[in-house]
Amino acid sequence: MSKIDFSKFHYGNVADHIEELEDIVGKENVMTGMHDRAIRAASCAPFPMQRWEDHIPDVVVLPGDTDEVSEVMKLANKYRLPVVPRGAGCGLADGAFPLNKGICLDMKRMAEILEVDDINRTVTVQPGVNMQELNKVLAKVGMYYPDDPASYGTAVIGGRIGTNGWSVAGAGSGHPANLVCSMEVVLPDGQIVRVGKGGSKKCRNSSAGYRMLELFFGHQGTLGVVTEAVLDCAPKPEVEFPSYFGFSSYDAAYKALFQLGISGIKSVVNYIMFDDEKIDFLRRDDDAFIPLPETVKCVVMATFAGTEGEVLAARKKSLSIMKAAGGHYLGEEQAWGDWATRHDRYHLAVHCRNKAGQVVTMSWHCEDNCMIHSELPEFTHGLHKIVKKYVEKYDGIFDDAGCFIYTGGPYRTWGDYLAEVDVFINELAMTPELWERWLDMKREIAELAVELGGSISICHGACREGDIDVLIDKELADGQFDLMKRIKKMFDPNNIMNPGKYNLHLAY
Amino acid sequence: MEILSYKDFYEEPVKKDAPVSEELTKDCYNVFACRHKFCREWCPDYVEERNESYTSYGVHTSTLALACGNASLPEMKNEFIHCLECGQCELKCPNTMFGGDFYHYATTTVDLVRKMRRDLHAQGIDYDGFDEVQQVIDEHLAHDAGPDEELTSWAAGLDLPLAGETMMFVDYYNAFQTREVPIAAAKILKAAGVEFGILKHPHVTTGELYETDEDKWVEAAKKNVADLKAAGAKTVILVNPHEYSYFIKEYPRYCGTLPFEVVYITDYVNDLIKADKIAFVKPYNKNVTYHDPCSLNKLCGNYQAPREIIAALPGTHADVEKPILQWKYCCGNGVSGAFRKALPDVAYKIGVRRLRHANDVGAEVLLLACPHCKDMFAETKTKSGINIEPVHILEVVAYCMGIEV
Amino acid sequence: MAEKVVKKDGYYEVEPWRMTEYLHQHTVNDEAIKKMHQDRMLYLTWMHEQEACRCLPGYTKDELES
Repeated sequence: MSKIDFSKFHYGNVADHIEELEDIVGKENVMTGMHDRAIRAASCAPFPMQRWEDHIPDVVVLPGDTDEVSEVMKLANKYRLPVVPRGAGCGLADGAFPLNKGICLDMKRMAEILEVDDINRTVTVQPGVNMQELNKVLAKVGMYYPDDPASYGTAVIGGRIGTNGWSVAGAGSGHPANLVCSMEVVLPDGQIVRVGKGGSKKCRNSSAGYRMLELFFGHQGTLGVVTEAVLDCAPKPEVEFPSYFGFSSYDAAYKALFQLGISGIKSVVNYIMFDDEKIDFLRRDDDAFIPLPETVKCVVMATFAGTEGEVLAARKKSLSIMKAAGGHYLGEEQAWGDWATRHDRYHLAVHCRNKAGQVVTMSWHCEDNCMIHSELPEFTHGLHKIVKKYVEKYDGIFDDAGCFIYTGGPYRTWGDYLAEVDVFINELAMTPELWERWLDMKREIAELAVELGGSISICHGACREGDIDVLIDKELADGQFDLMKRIKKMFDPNNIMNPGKYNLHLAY
Repeated sequence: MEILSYKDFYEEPVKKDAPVSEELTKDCYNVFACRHKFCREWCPDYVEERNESYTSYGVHTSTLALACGNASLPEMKNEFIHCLECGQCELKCPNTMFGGDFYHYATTTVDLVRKMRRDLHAQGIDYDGFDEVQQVIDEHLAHDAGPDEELTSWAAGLDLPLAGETMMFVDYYNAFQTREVPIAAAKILKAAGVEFGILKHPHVTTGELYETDEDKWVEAAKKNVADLKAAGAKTVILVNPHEYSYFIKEYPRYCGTLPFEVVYITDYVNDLIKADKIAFVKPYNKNVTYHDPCSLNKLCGNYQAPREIIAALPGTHADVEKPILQWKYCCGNGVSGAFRKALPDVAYKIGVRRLRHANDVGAEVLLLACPHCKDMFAETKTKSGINIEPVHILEVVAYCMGIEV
Repeated sequence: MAEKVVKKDGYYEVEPWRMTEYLHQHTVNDEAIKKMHQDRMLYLTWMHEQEACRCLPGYTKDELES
């Protein structure tokens, strides 16, 4: 992919406006040091270290409140300075990865919990609040914000909205798009607006007006900056119950997944299938915890949460389904340990191996495709065929960590799944040529997803190199991308918000 | 007991205008490669400052950026001072917690921070506020060069021998700043019938010196070990958890396996209580909670004995939370003390957060097991007016034993 | 692609030969490893506590065999 030509946007020089930024947010909240900026070039997606410098923002600004954000946006709009909002920086589609440097608007200073309403079951937060920390506070009143991604311990509310994130608890409790009642957004021109279900701050449903709230889910920082959100909170579950079953074949596990999905059980957190390659991969160092019997080729996990009565019933029904499908229970210790480590364990950089079997450190990446049930086997087998090609050819650069298949949609366990292949990439060894091969791999994966009737991304976003061409030419070619361009140009006439993201510079 | 997790290649200094070693680059990449930053929300400095530059991700990635030509060492002078060296990030990092044992490769942020402070100082690149820290180092070194009596003046009137199979090592901070702590410890041990000695002339192995002049620190450590051995020590009791962490984590790197057992005072006192060598004659009658010292809990995984002591104290109503919930807190001093000197405002905010948290459980007294915490919290309490009393656990043990301290 | 592992004190470790070329093991002694296990257990226990009030026990032998 060739570099985007931003010259027609006549951006100003950020360096000329440092003092004005300091006047808005305070000198101590403006950082110009190279290292402060360099560490904010990357999100969690694979990073092109070979051209790190190209993506280092010109300045880092940490605003403290909505007015400061608005003033920064007004300044940026006036002088045509690119602005890239940054939450936790752990998004996996490079939303926070500057394509044209500019101002990194680091939102993490805005991290107050503004109001806990245990009668209407909402909590009002600033965008820099992390879910795990939020739940420590909510636990005191028996409430729980059920957004539970792999980045649960780090991600912040603003980023969850910006990426339209996915939660492992979504099948039971919904995803972020279902868990926000309303929010305050600063538009690219500095205007502060409130979007919600109608005009209500705390209602979960309204037919008053267009559904403007949903527009900002997945915008990847291209339409504005979220500065406050009212979140919908569930009761903290009385009990939870994780269980893992081993299967002797992909087919058997796949059938179990389907039967569980249509069983009608409601108190579900998620059903997850681990395919053959994932189990093989986990055997590298999961043996460090609990060895899996040789006969186990795939695993299906079922976790339930809710009132004890409901979970006991779910637990019983799930067991009968698993047994009927040929599943073998892997034990309490396995379930207890693996469920609790679901966020942490997969991020170790030392999981990877080269052909000689040497440990090589790489960065974990997951391709978060959405796939319909009927195509899962062809899809996951196709994914491995693609990835293995590159792993074979480029020794020590890529690794195949197998597939997870998670129930995907909100409040339902059937139909479509987050079918992710986990690919590791050795960024330290990146060269321009290897990076192009990485993009080739991504393109092939994206094309396969679209070809089989799925989507390139269920939760990270599809704005990255490798995905974006397939997105525009295929997945959203039926008019959706045109609509995106029109909306972008209307909201951001000077293209200052995250310029180049989603190739929306094509709107101008 | 020795807890050893360190990297030899950290010994090679990072220098201006010289490439960063391949091993250090890969080491920093290990943390950058994750980028999920589970370390961040539990970092006491980050909780106040909300600046990811200073987290484990920040310090590793800055160093990686330096290795890749995207950072400048002189500009990084304040990059490494925003770390309390509390150890939360390195223990919580998935590389350590879920892979460190399997791979014998862990995240070692505290060592990296100490190393970078040292390496920057060696090139005349000092953080803002370093002068105050240098002053502390100079004072300690002056004491070390001074007469023996200065270093043992805290023990006046206690008649402690200068040799013994059991030795109490009293560090410089306790000897000059918080004398009441070693005095309480000595009186408790004496009342329990323990025969012990102290060194005639302990040498300075503080955190400030360690991250400024490693050679001087190592020389002092070796002298301490030799002197303790010469004094006949089979057991050495520490009364400062910072020093205790150096004895079990840093000393063995340079001195080999120590020729004596190293015990922290709360473990020793707890054993005495369990062996009925300590009799409590007075109730304490306070609502108490407990602050785990970072150096004891996070750096050494030592949290049980203080809880058992508190449970044994008569008359106290205790609400002590689990040690994991303390990982996010700190008194604000920092394990080397440099943090408090260089960033007093942030140190204060960190301390206020902890005192307020103690207030939330209705405690009147915040029990401590560290002299630095005691000093820091006393200052924070006075300045903030928060209604809670920071008290060292040894003072309460002594009180309940009817000992005047 | 399952790997052989070294079994030690009820836990497992990577075969050291795998860390001789690209990444090298550093000094990590038994006490450091013990601390990692202790910290891990504290964390796993807390993870369960903070997301639900209780974790139900696993299936019994009777349940599995019925």
